[in-house]
Amino acid sequence: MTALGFAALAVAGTLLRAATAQRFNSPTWPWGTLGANVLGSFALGLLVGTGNPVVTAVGIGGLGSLTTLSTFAVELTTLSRTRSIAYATLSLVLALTAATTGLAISS
Amino acid sequence: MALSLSLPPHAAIAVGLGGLAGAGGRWALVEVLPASETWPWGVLAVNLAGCLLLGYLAAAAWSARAELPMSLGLGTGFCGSLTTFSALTVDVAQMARDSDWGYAAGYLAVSVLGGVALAVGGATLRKTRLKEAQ
Repeated sequence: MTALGFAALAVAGTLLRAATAQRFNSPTWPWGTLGANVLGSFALGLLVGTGNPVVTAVGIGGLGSLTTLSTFAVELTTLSRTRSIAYATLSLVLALTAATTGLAISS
Repeated sequence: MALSLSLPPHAAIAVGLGGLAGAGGRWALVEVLPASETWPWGVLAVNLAGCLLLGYLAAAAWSARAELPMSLGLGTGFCGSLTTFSALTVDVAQMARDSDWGYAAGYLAVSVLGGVALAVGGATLRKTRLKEAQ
């Protein structure tokens, strides 16, 4: 059941990220990737904070797939220098704050 | 999920299958390389490998082929879901909460700077191979 939940949510998370990226990313600023990474970090913080291993495993399937490091890294190499620094800083600060807040709420 | 309807069906199938394979690969690697008490080896490994692969895939003539199902499946689907940002940020947030500042900063730096370096390395590898093929 855990594997099935992981797989189903992994597909859903991937599709949601693809659709969000297609709709909100622009060549000069990846709003969609940023939003997916920040919201996913908050939600995974909430789930991991519960301390329930099944909730955590299933959450890592779906929210692990909603969020992405590879797209983030490649985007950093394609943006202008100033924008890439701003994008990296904003992504990390917002996502770490979101993850910390999620963990604090549920644990 | 209304948002996903903005993807054409063939693209959604490619992205979904790629995502399933990528997340499955991430699950498998985390099983094979479990986190030590201080360091999430499996997540680090999939994140770095995915950055190298996506850097390679996205390097040359990508924009012309970016909307093809194969590119979407391998890039957005497989690499996107093989790698994860949320597991990284939640682990770093937990390290920081436990006052393991050195591990938090080190893990974050290795993941992000290593990921960007490998994405650049993958792109360089692709461009070199394309030049050799000409």
